[in-house]
Amino acid sequence: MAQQAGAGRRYVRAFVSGFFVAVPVTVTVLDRFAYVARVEGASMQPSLNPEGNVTGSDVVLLNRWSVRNYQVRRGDIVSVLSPKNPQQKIIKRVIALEGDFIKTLGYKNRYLKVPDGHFWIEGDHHGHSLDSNSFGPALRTPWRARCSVKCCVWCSHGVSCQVFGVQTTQMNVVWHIRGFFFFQVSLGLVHGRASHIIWPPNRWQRIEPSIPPERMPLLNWHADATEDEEKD
Amino acid sequence: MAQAGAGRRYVRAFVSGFFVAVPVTVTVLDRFAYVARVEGASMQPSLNPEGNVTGSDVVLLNRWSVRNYQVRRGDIVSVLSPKNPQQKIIKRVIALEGDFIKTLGYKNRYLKVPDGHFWIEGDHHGHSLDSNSFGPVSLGLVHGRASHIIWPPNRWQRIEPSIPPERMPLLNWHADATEDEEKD
Repeated sequence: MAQQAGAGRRYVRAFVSGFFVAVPVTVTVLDRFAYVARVEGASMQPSLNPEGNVTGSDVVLLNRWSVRNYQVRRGDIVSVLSPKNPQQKIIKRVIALEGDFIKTLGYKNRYLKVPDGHFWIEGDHHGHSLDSNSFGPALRTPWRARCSVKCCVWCSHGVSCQVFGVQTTQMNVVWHIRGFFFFQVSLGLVHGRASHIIWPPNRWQRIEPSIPPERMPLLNWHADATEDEEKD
Repeated sequence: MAQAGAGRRYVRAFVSGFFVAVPVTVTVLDRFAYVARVEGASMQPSLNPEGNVTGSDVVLLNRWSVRNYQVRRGDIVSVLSPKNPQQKIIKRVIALEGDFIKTLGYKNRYLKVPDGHFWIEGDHHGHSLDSNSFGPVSLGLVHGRASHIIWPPNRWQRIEPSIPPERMPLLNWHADATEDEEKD
């Protein structure tokens, strides 16, 4: 209908006004509803990234609306701003909520009550075996030691590792490294709940909350015993 | 143009305006600026000097300046409370990661603020629930920096960063000595 100049100006106006609508809408959706993130690292194997980075990392959908009141459940996989570096997000599983008594693995205190306003997260990855070829000549007796950063490929950010060997034959010792990724984290740092794995297509699934039985809290201070006994 | 058509056009304009205004407002409040009323006496005399008698101060919180979690010593910031994330507390930043400080009533007398954390205190010592109670606070909990007092009108002012001299950090682990000596 109009001349080309008029039509061009109308397109520019439509683009600019669309832009000024689309950006806030997108920002609001990403901040309040859903977020998509690629999972890196091996701390959540075998639940996430079971093959490491060989076949490509998992991509998860993070539900931000469900954590808007900081309500997380035990067993959820959540993304959290790292207490060591707030620019970084970490994905771990919620093991215990405020008031729970838990037995820790390798933490400075053996038993711990999770303080109010905090929760306890851990990575699923509980061990890996390396051949003694990686470490040179074998010792004859099993021993435990704190690993150095060199020998523990998953050690980072001050995570505690234990290296222990089990002698299988006279000359061979299989070294086991147990790296535990654990944090006591303020609830305000929670970012989103990983609800679905959306990539790669052969790993499409809904992520269900579950806690390894040996990591269940021992009891809850507020006498909420639903995780010990389910009455129906 | 019948009246029904005009009415329908108004409804459509209203609805489309609504669906634009809500995300724009939410984005502005989340990312740029936030307004909050200060309650309590923990920041006297800087904020709420009369208590709640003449009305609480209302401050403008700058959210854009803390988007990368960069706070300065002496800033007044709003923070999600470590005790209860549904609550926001307004306190002053006393020390950043790596600083050695002397605490007031904390379980340890001296403390090095861990990486990724900072130390906040209320100006009204003894009437403040702050880091002296719950320890260093994760930087990820910072919400906004109080830049201006915007109400009541007789208290309009820009809030300048300042630390009481007796609360300055003793030294900084990363050898950043600018708070001890200013060289010009």
